[in-house]
Parts: sequence; C-alpha cells; structure tokens
Amino acid sequence: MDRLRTQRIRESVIEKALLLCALASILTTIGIVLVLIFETFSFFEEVPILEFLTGTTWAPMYQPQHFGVLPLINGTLMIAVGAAVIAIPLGIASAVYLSEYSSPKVRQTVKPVLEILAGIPTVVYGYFAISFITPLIRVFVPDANIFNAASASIVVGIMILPMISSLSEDAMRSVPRALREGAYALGSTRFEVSTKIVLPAALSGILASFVLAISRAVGETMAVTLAAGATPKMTLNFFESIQTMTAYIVQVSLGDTPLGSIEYKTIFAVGMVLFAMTLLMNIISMWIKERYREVYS
Amino acid sequence: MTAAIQTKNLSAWYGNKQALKNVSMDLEENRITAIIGPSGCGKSTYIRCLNRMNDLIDGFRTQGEILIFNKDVRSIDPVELRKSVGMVFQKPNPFPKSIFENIAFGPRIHGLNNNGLDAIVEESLKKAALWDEVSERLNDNAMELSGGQQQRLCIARALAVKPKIILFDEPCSALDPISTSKIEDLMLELKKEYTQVIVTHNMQQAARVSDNTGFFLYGELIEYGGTRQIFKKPREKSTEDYIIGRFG
Repeated sequence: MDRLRTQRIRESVIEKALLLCALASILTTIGIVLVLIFETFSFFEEVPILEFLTGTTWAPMYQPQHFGVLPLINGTLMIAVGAAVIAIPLGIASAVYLSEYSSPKVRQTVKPVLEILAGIPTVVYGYFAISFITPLIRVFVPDANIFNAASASIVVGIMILPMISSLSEDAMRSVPRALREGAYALGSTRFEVSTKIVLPAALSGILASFVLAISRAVGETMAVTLAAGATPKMTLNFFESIQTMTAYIVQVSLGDTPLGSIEYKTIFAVGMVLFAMTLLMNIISMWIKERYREVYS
Repeated sequence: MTAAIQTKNLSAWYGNKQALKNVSMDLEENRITAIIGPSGCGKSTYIRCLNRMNDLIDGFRTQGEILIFNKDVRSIDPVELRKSVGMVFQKPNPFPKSIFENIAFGPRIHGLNNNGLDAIVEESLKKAALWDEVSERLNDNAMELSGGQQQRLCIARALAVKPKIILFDEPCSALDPISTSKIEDLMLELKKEYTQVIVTHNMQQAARVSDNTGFFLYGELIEYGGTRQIFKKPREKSTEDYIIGRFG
C-alpha cells in the first residue's frame, strides 16, 4: 500500500518535471515575442508606423533621422531572391540526381557531405565570401563594391543549398516505387520518370523546402553582415553595398547606442518585421505541405 | 500457332541468389498464358524479364535467351521494348494526375501531340471497359476511383501505347471478387488483339482465363501445357499437389 503510494507520487513528480522542461522552451519563445512586441510599441510611440513602413530612407544614426525600413527590407529581399536563384536550380538538380540517378554507394557518400555544408559556421561562409567570392566577382565586374549583394547572395545560396537538396530528395524518395515502375513500363526514359512523375508527385515537399530555405536566407545574419556591407539603400544593383535587416540589428547591437534611446528601439521594430516575415513563410510552407500533399494510394 | 514470346534456357539471379533455372517456354500469340506457383517460385521474376523491368534492380542478371516476336530483347532498347510489351501491376498504380492525363501519359512521351490524344484516350478507356464509368469526369484525379476502376485504368493506360503483349503481375490480388471478374472478362475480350501473360496466385483464375498454364516451383518450370490438361490431368506429382492445395 505504502509502496504503491510512493510510486504514484514519484510518477507524478517525473511527469511534472518533464512538463516543466517542455514548457521552458515555449515560455522562452513567448517571452521573446512579448519583449519584441513591447519594445516595438514603444518605438511606434515616437515614430509613426506609416513612416516606418513606407519611408525609403533609413538613417536612424544621423541627423536628421529617418526611419523608413524599406531599404532594409529591400536589401533582405535581394539576398533572399539572389540566394534562391542560385540554390533552387542547383538544389533540384542535385536532388533529382541523388534520388533518381545515383547508385546507392554514391548517394551514401554525397548526401552526408552535402549535409556537412549545413554544419559549417556561418561566419566561415562570411569570410569565404569576402576573401574568395568577392575578388572573383571583381575580376568580372571591376566596378563592384568591396561589399556587395551579389557576393552575399552567392554565399547564402550555397548555405541553403543542402537544405533544398536534402529535403527535396527526401520528398522524391518517398514517392512510391510502384509509380516509377508504372511509368517505366510505359516506355519512359529515366529523365521522363524523374521530371514527369517523381517531381510532380513530390512537389509539395519540394515547394516547402524552397520556402523554408528562403526563410533561412531572410534570417541569415553573419555572412551577410560581413559580405553585403552596411549601406541601407533602395537599389536593385547587386554589385553595390547594401544592408539587410539582420545586418542592421548586428550593427546596432555591437555599437554604443544608449539603452532605451530611439536608435536602440529601432532594432526591435526591425526585428519584429523580420520575425513577421519568417513566421509568414513558415506558415506558407506548412500550408503548401498540407494543401498540395499528393495522395498516392 | 506462332510464338509471340520464347525463352530459351533462361536463368536469372538477384546477386548470388538464383531465381530462375533454365526456363524454356514458348508463349502463343493472341492467347492468355497463366503462370502459377507458390510464393518465391520465380513467376514474377519470369514475367519481369520479358519487358526487362528487372534491369532496374541492382545486381540482377540473366543468362539464356528471350525472344519477343523472334527478336532478342537484349538487342532492343528497353524503352522501345516496353512500348510493345505493356505491364499491369499487382497493386493498381495510377499516377496522381487526372484520369485523362493517366491515359495520355504514354502516347505523350512517345511524341503524340494533343490532336490525337482525345481519340486515343477514349479508345483505350473503351477497350478497358471503363469509358462508361468515367467519360463524364476525365479531369478528376485518378486516385478518387475505386480499386477495381484504378486497375482498369492501368490497363487502359497500358493499351494507350498500343502494345502487342500485355503482362499482368497478379492483377487482381488487391481487388474484390466483382472487380476481379470484370478484369477477367476484359482479358478474354482483349484476346482478339493482344498476347497476354498473367501471373496469379489464384488457381481458379488461371483455370477461368488462360489457354495455357505453366507451373513454376523453386525457379524451375515444372510443367507447361494446355490449361485444361494441367488442371485435369497434370503429368507431374508436384503440379497435382499444388493444384489440389496440398502446399503453396
């Protein structure tokens, strides 16, 4: 009787302890979001939200101050689009190769290597961009700035490539073998099977991998801080120096901006925009996965 | 009667494991040949050799000869071979596309442009006895069809590339009795134009649809002859044991 009771108490203690661990990360997230919202609100008490969202000059550190976030969003989107243009075709091609063409032996070697790419610290990618990609770009485009969006886009593209190829390959390999055999039995070539049967059947997983990868590119910080420069501007020229939202947050966080000043509060407002963008993309990715999930059987 | 398919001393291996041993067999044109035998006897391996489907498996190799209308299959490009030797699988495997696109897939990859497609889709669905059930909803997803309809769709899909031979790998094992009898009626109907080979676990099915039957055991062709003879008066003891259900 007594033993039973201690056992029950022990079980409930264990359960509570585990619950506490699970709650810890949820509470942290809620805390972060709350701080973000709170500080953002106090920023908008001083700067009209309309000026923030539609202004085309970002100069909180200089007099007269300007708080238009569009140049930072522009810079962020340039990096995201540039990285996507590089990573999507390469990612799809390597996923098709690994899933449909390579022998098991090749796949077992190449896939882990690709995944190691994802484990390299982003700061390493950053100085790889500055010390290798940028000089290379300047060979072809001598006018390119030392810090430029192209170099950062390329390096971020390389960073998100394993994500696209690995997730897309998983999606393609989960397409049932029976579908492939059905297509082969009609006299399809391997390329026709890959592009007309497997790719469409795996489309939801592939699209979801794009969105996740782009969301990663939007949030990427270290490499773009190093390679893309610190010049917030409205431009579409990839060979100029720009600034992304993340890079701006780094710049202010490292500087000696007084706590509680309006300059300091900008990073929360910018962080909020960033958070909203990546959250939206993650939701889109989940929605795509649900909405376009092919039912094969 | 001419032989549509001939195999001479055909042996096959998956890696080191031998799956077929010296199978020599002539399959008649415009007839249905049933291949029966217990699980693992090599009957699926045998028909998958005929359209070189097993080439897709690592470590698979064959020895001996396979002739399709007197041409060695190894001298034919597998893509070309599979155009004239269609296959219907154990589990219905429609593509996750519309009914129309499923049928149009084969003709399209073989270079037919959109003009001829409507006609070929209709013709194939009619031949597969599915037209009346789906003619109003060709753009619906094929996954919405019932299992039996899906299997007839797969037959129509195979017919659309105009093969001369159709291989059926246990086509009814995932279907209910009514759907099964529809497929069997269809096979009898298709006899006029096509040479058919069916692998089946179901001996009544073999007896109902086939003209000739081959009995496989441990990778060997034990007995081959007219279906009536095989079922009424088998020459081999093991054939008789299998047919009356003593094993398998």
